[in-house]
Amino acid sequence: MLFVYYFLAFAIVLIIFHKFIEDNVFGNENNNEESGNTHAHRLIVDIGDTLINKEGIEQYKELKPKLEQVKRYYLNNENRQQVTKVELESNKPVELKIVS
Amino acid sequence: MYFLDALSKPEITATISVLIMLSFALAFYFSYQNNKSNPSVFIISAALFINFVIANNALYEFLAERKPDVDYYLRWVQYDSLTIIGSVIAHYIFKVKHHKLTSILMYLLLVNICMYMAVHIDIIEHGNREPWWLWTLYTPVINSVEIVIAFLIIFKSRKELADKAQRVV
Repeated sequence: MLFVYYFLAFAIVLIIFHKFIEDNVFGNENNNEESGNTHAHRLIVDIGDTLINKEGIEQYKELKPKLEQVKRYYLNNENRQQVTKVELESNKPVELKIVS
Repeated sequence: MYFLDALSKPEITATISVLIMLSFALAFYFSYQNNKSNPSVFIISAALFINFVIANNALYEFLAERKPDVDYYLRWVQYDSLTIIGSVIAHYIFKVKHHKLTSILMYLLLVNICMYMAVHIDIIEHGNREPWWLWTLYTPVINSVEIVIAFLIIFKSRKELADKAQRVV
């Protein structure tokens, strides 16, 4: 019956350290876009919930601030992508021409 | 302490065990209805359901006689430890974050494990046969903890279901 004591010790260790293991070992995996934990994803889900529940002018008033936030988020994303494109273009090597 | 002594009678203990088993079955049912919004509580209620209803087999012990050579206290320690281990590993496998309630329930299970170990050390290891305050405290504490665990799951699941229904309306 010695294995019972090993189970008990393992259970106590897991109870004390389960949060620590979750944050450090699995924390990075939980933060990516696909898991839906980003701010934009949460906004979209909230918008979806509101659309299911109500209709008309009240719906628009409720949605408007959230839609503004999403618009700003994606505009910022687009600007970041444009900056990256410009940087890449400016790094192209200069073509040397022979001047006769 | 007549009330506490009455709790130690085998028929009353067996009846309370069956009621606790039914409350865990109910807790599992309600947490299954709410599993999409709170998968963490569903995982631990499933582990507790397997422990109390299937593995611990309270109904069987109510119908059949207890075997004298089986060390029940260590067996309960084993089952509760495996419940905690199984629940935490299931959270990691399914990549579910531990809910606050799940952590609280695991600490409550640890209280029960400590009581089982204390009585095991007293009766089996030391061979003590004289009753003292630990024996009087044992039955009410473990039964109260189990009832609290079951009702926390039921209350949390019902509250979240009611909130969800209100949002839809």
